[in-house]
Parts: sequence; C-alpha cells; structure tokens
Amino acid sequence: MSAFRYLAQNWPEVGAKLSQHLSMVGAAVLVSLVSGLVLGILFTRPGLKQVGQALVGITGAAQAIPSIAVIALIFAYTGIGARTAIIALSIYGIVPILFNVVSALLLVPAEMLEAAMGVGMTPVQVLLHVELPLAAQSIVTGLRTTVTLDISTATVASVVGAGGLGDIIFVGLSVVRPDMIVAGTLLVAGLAILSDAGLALVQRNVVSRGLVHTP
Amino acid sequence: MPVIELREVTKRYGDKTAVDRLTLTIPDHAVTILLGPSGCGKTTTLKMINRLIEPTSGDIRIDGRSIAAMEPIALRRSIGYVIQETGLFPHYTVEGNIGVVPRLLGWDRKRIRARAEELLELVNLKAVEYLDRYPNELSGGERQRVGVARALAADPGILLMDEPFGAIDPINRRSLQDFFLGLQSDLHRTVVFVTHDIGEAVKLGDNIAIMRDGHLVQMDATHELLEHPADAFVTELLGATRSAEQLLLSRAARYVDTAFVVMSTEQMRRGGGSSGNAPLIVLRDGDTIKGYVEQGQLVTCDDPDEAICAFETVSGNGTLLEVVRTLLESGRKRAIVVDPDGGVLGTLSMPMIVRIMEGGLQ
Repeated sequence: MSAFRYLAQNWPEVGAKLSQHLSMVGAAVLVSLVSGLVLGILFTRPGLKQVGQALVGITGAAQAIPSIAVIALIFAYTGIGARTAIIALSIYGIVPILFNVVSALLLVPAEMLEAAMGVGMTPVQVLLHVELPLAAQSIVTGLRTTVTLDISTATVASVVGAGGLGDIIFVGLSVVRPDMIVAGTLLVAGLAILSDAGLALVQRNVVSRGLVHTP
Repeated sequence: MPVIELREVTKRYGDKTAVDRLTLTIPDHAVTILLGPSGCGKTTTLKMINRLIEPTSGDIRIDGRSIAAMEPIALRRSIGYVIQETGLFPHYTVEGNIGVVPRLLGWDRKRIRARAEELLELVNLKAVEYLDRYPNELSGGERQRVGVARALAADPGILLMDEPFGAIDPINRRSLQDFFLGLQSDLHRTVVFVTHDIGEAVKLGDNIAIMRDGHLVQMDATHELLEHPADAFVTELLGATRSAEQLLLSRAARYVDTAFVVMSTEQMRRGGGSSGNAPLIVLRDGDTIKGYVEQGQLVTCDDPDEAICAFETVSGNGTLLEVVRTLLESGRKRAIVVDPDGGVLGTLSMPMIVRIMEGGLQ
C-alpha cells in the first residue's frame, strides 16, 4: 500500500520518469524495428539466403547475451546519458525482431513465391503482397518480445544516467525505501503488460484471418 | 488465339541438362499434355513458357513473337498459371485470390468483384457463399476450382497447368477433370498441361507430348499416339491405359452382339413375334428402325409400339467410346449398331461393353 502512497505523493516526478522511460523505449523500438525489417528482408533475398540462414543461428544465440553487457559496452564509447541507453536498447532489441523476420521469411514456401511470380508480381509486389503478410504473425511476435525486453532493460539503463523508471528503483535501493522499489517495479511491469496487450491487438488486425488456424 | 512454338530449347543446370534441344509446336485452342516420368523436363519446359525459368539456349515464340523480347512480368500477367493447391494465397479470400491479376493490372474494385462473381459461377461455386472465404475454409477440390478461376481472371489466351489436380484424391480428381473438360469445351483456350498421370493425359489431352530425359519422344494427337506409339518407351509408358484406350477406340462393329432377329411391326402384329433363341427382336418398317423388344417381354402383341424400348442408333464405324458416350448421355440401355446403309449390325449395351473391356484387358 505504501507503494501506491508513494506514487500518489510524487506523481509529477514519477510521471516525468515514466515519460522518459517511454520515449527511451519508443525510440529504441523504432530503430530496432526498422533496421530489423530492412536487414531481415535484405538477407532473405535470392542470393543472400545463406546469410539469412546463418543469421537465424547467430540471432538465436545472441538472445542469450545479458542486456547489462550491451549497455556496459556502449557506455564505454558514448558515456553517460539517454543516448547510450537508446543505442544499447536499439542494438539489443534488433535481435528478436531480426530473428523472427528472417526465420519467417525463410519459411515462406518456395511454391508460394513461384505462384506469386507466376501470376506476374514484381519482386517488390511479391514482398509486399505475399511474403510480409505471410510473415506478419511472426514479425509482430518478434516486436512484442523486443518491446517487453526494452521496457525491462531500460530500467537497468538508469545506471548509465539514462533516467526513466529505473531511477525510482535504484534510488529506493540506495536509501532503502522498499515502497519506492515496489512502486517502480509495478510501473515497469504494468507498462510491459499494457504494451504487450496493445500489440496483441495489433497482431490480430495485421494477420489475415486466412492464416489463423480454424478448428 | 496463340500458338506456342519451342525451337531447339535447351536448359542446363551446371552440367545437368534438364531440357535438351526441344522443338515442339503447341497448337492453339487445344489441350496439349506434357507427359513423362519425373525429371523428364516437363515442368521445366512449362516454366520456360512464362519465363519463370529462362532457357539456356533456343527460342520460344507465342504467335510468332519471341518471348525473350517480351517483358516477363507483362508476359506472365497475360498467361493463366495453375499449380497444385498450394498456389492459392492463404492470406487472401477467394475474391482476393481471383482478383490478384486484375489488381496487378489496375482494374477497379467493382470490376474485380464482378469478374470474381462471374468466374465463380463459371467454376460452379456459389459466389455469395465463396467470395469471402479463405483457402483454409475450402476443400481441396474447391481450392482447385478457385485456382482455375484465378488463372482465367484476366481472360488469358494461354493456360499453363502444372499438375493442377495432383494433390487431389482420385474420386475428386475425376470430377475436377470432367469439370475442366466442360470448361475447356466452352472456352477453347490454348492449354499446356503437365502431368505424370497417363490416365489424366489421355482423358484431357487433345495432343500428348511425351518427354524423357529432356528430349521429346513423341508428340501426336492422343488417339494417334495410342494407336501408333513411336517406340518401346512410349508403349511401356502408356501400358495398360493404352490397351484400355485402344479397346475403347476400336470400331464398335467388331464387338456387336448379333444375337437378334429383325422383323417388321406388321409381322409382329400378326403374331409372328418369336425370336427363337435370340434374346432380342429388332422391329423395323422398311428403312425405319422402330425399336427393339427384349425376349420374354413380348411374343405376340396387338400394339408393339407400346412395348418397344427406346434406343439409340450408332454407326458401326464409330468407336466403342462413342457408343459408351451415347448410352451415358441418353440414359438408354441399348444402342442399335447400324452399317452405313442402315442395315442392323447388332446391338451393344453397357454391361456388354464392360465385359468386352474385362476380356480385352486380361
């Protein structure tokens, strides 16, 4: 209960931390999504598919790298501030998106691509009208993973002076205020749950009903 | 409508030759089957016609124009392409699938909808029921009909069909084949149809091109091919189908049942209606055949017209297949086979033809 009291009494400050957190995550997710899509599409084009296959292995393994390691490494180059956090989150967040984009695009059956070319689609039309719609489910799943990861990892980014909800938890830790630690944690968890639910809704709308298994 | 000519067409993959100096003229308005064992180059040949595969050398012409000089995308949009059921886009509705090519061609939404409705009607699917369904809500046979409708969407002169019914169970495959034959008899497209199913080839093909190891072994009208296989390979490939087809394509006169007597209706009216041991009496007045009477049903009769069974007359020069077709279409039990002068040669019925085939195939 004291966590809620803390939130109510410190709302303007908490609100500022929340918006810092959101913009940090938002910027990073955008960069990850765009670069993940671009790289994923690029490395699944004819002639580059082997690179794509290698990427599935690499990105699969890369998900095991601890987020703090990436933040620390970027910190060594860019120093204190939100910029370090955004760069680190962007790089870290590419991994699940790239993994899902590449593996889903590689899974589009060759006959499907041939049918698309056979009816006279240009390579760009094949990508936009066939490949991406067929991969949509998996791509949005990757995006959901990245958003959840980024929201929690952005908390840790407080240690490099990036601000955000992590500040509340870390301050709570140093002054031994469990109510602050719980309050910060609740906000981070709530944010993650809400955004994931939102993306689940998006997913239902971008994935064709024809691709959803009907019993 | 287009004729497709392949001249000295070769396709090599590394040091493997998939198609070797293939020269073939595919006539217009007809169904030409590319038939052969797997790996014979038939699918490669098909895909070279819409440039999904580019030949290593040689020339392919449609209506005298070399396709190498055409824009591949435009070429493909002008040719209908039907493949196994996987060819439907699962994320599009039936309407979306049928409308794929029209959309690429920039038709407006209303025109696409109207065309989709028209084509569903053509392939015997109710538009209101099917337009908004997804492929995973259709049976295999329905998917294939939609696949054919999609290929016809922009009214192409040429249809390329790559084992379109291959993934369908035998019973539904037969009904799809009948559906396709009916459709083709209305539309008269130039169809190139790849299959490895000999029965399907003989049933659907006006012409059959048999391929082996990338070479053309024989290209002929279907009945020519069955009657005069070029070599042992063709004979063996056609195998049992050939004997069955050959039987059906041989002259009806050879197989008629001659156990009958002919008498006039006048004779019968007078009470002479005994056929002795023959099972059948054929009644005629002068040149006109009135009908026939099965033995036992009637020996004498005041009004034979009432007891007479309806019948069909077929020419003895026709094939057994024509007799079968006549019987099936008319629903009659028996056909009376006549010579060109109108003389009665005998009769044929379905059970008899079945017995002939059983005997002939052993």
